[in-house]
Amino acid sequence: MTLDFWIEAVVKVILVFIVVLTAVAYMVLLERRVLAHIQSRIGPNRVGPQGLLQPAADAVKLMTKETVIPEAASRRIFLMAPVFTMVPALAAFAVIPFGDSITLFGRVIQLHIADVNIAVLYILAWSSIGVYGIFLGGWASNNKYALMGGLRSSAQMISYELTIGLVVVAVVLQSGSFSLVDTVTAQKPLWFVVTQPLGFVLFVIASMAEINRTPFDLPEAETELVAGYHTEYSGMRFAMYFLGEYANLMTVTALATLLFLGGWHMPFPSPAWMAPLWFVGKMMALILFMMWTRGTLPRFRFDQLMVFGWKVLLPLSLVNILVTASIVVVRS
Amino acid sequence: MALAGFLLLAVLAVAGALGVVLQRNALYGALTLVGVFATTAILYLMLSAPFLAAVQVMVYAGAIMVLFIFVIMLLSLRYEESGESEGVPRGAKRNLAVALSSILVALLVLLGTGLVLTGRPGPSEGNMASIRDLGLTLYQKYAFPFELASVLLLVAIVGAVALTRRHGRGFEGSVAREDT
Repeated sequence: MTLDFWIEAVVKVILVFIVVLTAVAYMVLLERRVLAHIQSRIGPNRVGPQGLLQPAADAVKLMTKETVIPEAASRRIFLMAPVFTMVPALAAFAVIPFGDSITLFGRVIQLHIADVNIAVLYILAWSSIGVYGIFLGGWASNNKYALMGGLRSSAQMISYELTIGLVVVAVVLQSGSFSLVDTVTAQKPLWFVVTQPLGFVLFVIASMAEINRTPFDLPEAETELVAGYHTEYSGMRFAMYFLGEYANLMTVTALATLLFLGGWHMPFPSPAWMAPLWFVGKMMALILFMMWTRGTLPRFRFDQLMVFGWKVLLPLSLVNILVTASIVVVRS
Repeated sequence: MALAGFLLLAVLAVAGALGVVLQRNALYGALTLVGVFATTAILYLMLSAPFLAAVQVMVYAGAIMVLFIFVIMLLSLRYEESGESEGVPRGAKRNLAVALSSILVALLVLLGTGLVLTGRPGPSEGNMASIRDLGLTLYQKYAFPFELASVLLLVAIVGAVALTRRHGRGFEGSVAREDT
């Protein structure tokens, strides 16, 4: 554990932190513009050129807004709940590899913060913790609508986590390792989306439900439950929930890219420093797809949502495992 | 260094456990229990069992405690009704608690001194910490207990559904009501 190691680690952490938080802020703007164009309007374009300073304006507004805590709310849990949403989304980036390795100032630098041999499990474990932020926030608000929203959302999240876990099992069957770097390396010949298309589709759908995005956003639907679990939150704490949701979006699209779309692999030979750009490009494609879905599909009713998760996606993911396992056994 | 880390985690875990028992509010107790599971997971990491640590968080802290907290929230037991506002329990409750905890302490002491056989020594098939070895051992050597445990879970699920269904026939008897 030399000084070099520590400096490298700290620089990487700070860099990833800054990049992810900035990207999250600008993704809000991107979503607003994309949704606007889908709905035949323009979206925010006043603040700065093409609205590029809009996130700054939003940040200032949210930071200066007063944090209102309801009288009968459970104060400690109310203040603590958004942390449970924000931290898992950011912590998952510790194991996400953005590229292979680059040589800088004579050192070979791996383009990930940590290559853990249980990387996929680590991310799944953090997303299990992310459920707490939702229903603790809903309960601590001492508000019927918030409680309902919180309970519904957490029921939805734990149901769709199962599908995600099973799809990951099928991917691990094919890649032979829980480490994300190994998974990307195993996709050098062929991306897993080609060999497991069903798994990819299931993963994208289940992760849309996992991060509470339309069409699975009943828990925070404005027309149904006021604003669901974050009804009573204002100012910085609301911002944490909001940013946590978009950071989650980045996490699941990054995971989908790593598990199915070949990570940073490029279709034609390119210099190594372009690998992160390809990775981000693939992520952006998935993110735009999810924003496109948001603007297009109506939302699921809660019982439809649960039926879909348990009776459609779960059996399909088991079928996916069965088929993948049989092929792996036959070929070995 | 490792000792300092272990001591810190151990103190946190014990403090969490004490918190679970001594807290008056059931929800705070449940959250403290989540903290205990988190420190246990880090202890597993220190013992070179990363898979176990991740699974501990995923299953215990992420699923089981979520369901516990659901129940606590949905029942929202009033503090006065729970009978805890009378302070330290007296009479039968107290005697039972003392009896059970002395049995527990006696057992722990016995096991600790090694005077009693604790069964076969741990698996000697080599380094169990790697996921591959864990999987091979679980599905080859201990396949029968594994299947038995899953049947047990199935029995619990079926029993829970059977106990809670209303006496309508078919779909209305067991589906969650629309207002939940």
